[in-house]
Amino acid sequence: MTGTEPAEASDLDLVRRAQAGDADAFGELVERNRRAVFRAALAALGSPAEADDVAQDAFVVAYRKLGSFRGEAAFRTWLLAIAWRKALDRRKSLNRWLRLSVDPHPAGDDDHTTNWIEQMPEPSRSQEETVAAQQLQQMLRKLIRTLPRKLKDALLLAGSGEYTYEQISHILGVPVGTVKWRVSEARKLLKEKMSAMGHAYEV
Amino acid sequence: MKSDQEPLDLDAAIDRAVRSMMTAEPRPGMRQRVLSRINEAPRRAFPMLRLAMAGGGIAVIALAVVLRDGNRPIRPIEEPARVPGHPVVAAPPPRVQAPAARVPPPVSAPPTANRTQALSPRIPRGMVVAQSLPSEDPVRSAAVGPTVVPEAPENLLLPPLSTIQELQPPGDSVPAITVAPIGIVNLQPIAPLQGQYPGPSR
Repeated sequence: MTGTEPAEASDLDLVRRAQAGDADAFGELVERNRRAVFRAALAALGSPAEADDVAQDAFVVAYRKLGSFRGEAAFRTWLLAIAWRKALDRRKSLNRWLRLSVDPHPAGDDDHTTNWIEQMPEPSRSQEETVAAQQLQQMLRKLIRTLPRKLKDALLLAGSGEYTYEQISHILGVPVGTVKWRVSEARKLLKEKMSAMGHAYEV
Repeated sequence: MKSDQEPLDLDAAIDRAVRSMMTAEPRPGMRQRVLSRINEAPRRAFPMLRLAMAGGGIAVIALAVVLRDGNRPIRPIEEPARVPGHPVVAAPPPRVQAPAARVPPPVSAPPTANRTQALSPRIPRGMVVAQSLPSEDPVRSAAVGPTVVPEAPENLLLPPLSTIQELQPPGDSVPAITVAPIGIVNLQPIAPLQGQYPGPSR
């Protein structure tokens, strides 16, 4: 078999080249992992703008610490752990607390950027059903934000579809079983809150 | 609403809500932004924090210097002037006695010749002593038993700390201090009260 096109380099190959000083190789790593890093930061912060800043910081830190990457874990897993720590630092920062105390819902909030998903009418649903579904989604998003942080983080990371439970376990620094328990507990709490509010569910 | 489908619907609603919260995309150009930051000159992280730490360190050093100057020991007592022919004796450190002490002061050997000329003893209040001094009351003067010293006047109490003077080395001008004994001076045996004690007049 003659390969006219070079096989795509693996992450490990790109890491080795980046460690040798190849900036383009690191750029390729950024391109491959930017969405995963961004969404991990988004799960922690809830704001796309802040998640974008943290993702950039995470990549810069990863580049500076590239020499310490030994290849024991996958590069993405190692990178996501760095991004998560940066996101937590940002979440704990006093400046962020001050900003949120002034404007609890800054521009770029998920309700504004993703509302169009629920607004798309479905042929099988009436307009009333679509409106009810949108209201349910808004209510659920609000309830998810009120969950305890550990449960919320696990639920968002698992529900994003970007990460395996093993990767989430490495990001959060807890066993896989704990991740699964937190996800299950988060769902249970949400259902209890919905029941307490007397919300009737339609099929 | 069908009860067997209720959990499934709510789970599906939760999944949709979570996906809607996590579907945002990063701004385009992440690669260029990261590479440009990497190629920049490494800037110091947290410059304000470093400045604040430096200022705090300077403040701590200044405070330590001020406290050290404030806690310097008291200037030592100046040595007494040398007198020709007399060796200089270093003054003992000042001693301050507790004002509330009820323990009688130590008694030195009284001079036998000038007991009557001794200074009034400084006797704490309530101290029971034998009556060694002559009294105007003939009944009391005949009494053999011990009597309770009445409450001492103010001038017999220990002076306040501020008036305590520093001890001076012994010299010719300092008179000998004698203290009247507080022990029982009258060595006559104490006779039983009944039959001999006249008692108060009724």
